[in-house]
Amino acid sequence: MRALSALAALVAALGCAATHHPAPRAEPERADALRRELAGWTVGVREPVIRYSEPGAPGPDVLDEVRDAGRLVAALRDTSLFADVKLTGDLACPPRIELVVRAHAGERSGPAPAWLWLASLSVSILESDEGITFTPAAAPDELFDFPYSETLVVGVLPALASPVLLSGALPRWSFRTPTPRTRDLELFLLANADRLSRFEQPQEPCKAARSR
Amino acid sequence: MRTRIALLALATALCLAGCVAVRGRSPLALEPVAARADRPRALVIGVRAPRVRLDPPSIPGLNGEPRTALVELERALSLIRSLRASGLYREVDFEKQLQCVPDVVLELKRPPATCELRALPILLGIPLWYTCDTGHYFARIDDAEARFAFPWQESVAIGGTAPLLIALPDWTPSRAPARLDDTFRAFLLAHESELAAGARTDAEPTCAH
Repeated sequence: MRALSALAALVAALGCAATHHPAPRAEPERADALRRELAGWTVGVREPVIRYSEPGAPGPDVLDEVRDAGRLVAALRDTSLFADVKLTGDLACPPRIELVVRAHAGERSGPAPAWLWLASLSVSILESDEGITFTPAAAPDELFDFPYSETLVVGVLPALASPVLLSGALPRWSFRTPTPRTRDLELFLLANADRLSRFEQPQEPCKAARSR
Repeated sequence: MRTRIALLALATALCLAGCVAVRGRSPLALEPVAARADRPRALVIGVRAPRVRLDPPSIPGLNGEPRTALVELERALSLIRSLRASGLYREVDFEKQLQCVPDVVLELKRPPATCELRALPILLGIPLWYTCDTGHYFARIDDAEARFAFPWQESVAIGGTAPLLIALPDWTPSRAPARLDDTFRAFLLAHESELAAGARTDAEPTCAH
């Protein structure tokens, strides 16, 4: 009993969490040239249309849309690919490209199967969908879908396997955080840069304080 | 041993039945009023939508999140829901979603208080007890004097003894928006003239006429 308590305390103290993530993407051809091209872009994320819907009504939820727009801005900024990424209304100049966030088709999160809990002696297993879907504002039917689902395992098994995980021998597992999602999104955007550039907006003169 | 098991089973059953008790009430002296279907409904109310924006990052270097916008949006949605539920108005929606010019446009005002934890019940064995003001605070955009404050204090008790609270008056096992709506209706009727005094009088046609 004491040994188990000590082990539980050790697991809690170390925060032994391991994350399983998709296989890393390959670097696209002309990656450096694409990086240089995107570095000059200002990206605007369009604010969702604020509307009322009855609680529990089917269809997209405006609160989720606002959260998702904020997440898209954060995710694009984290890649450091672009000159600036903001909500469109916060930009002083018209963006080079304006994006509209869409609800991602994958499951937001879900419990893991019971057998996995038992097999991995886990305190917690969380499967979460960290994918992103957006369209250019100029082409609402042109979907850009970045699938990315992670499984976070917290418990004894990550603690026991920590030497292996830390050595990097398992490329699809990360010990603790951060996960390689930002790097994967960067590669996804580079791979789709040519497709994105088809929806560049004509550059209008920049005003110091653009009226909304 | 059997007694212990029985007590444990009872506590578990109580928790499974719902260890949450909620009480909502307004400190204003208002008696809830039921909706009347025969009452004429003339005014079209528009609610100004909050601006979607990202807060400055709490830690330099991190990304900002739309926390303030989400809170304001939830409050705006709640105000529209309550105004609609009152049954007093012809149409209520966000200003830009209305198909016509509203008679009155309302904007949200910052509520005076937020949530607070209550320490005494925690000492008495209820693990969590907090009270939040989920009322409606708004003003007519055309009249800075016309401010309306409808406080609604919602207390939530979570814990094994919460089911006992449900036996007391005013306590329910979950939120009871109907009670808020009935009390808000009484508030709106009490302030009917102030609210309608902002109705448009210019030549532009409205939905109501």
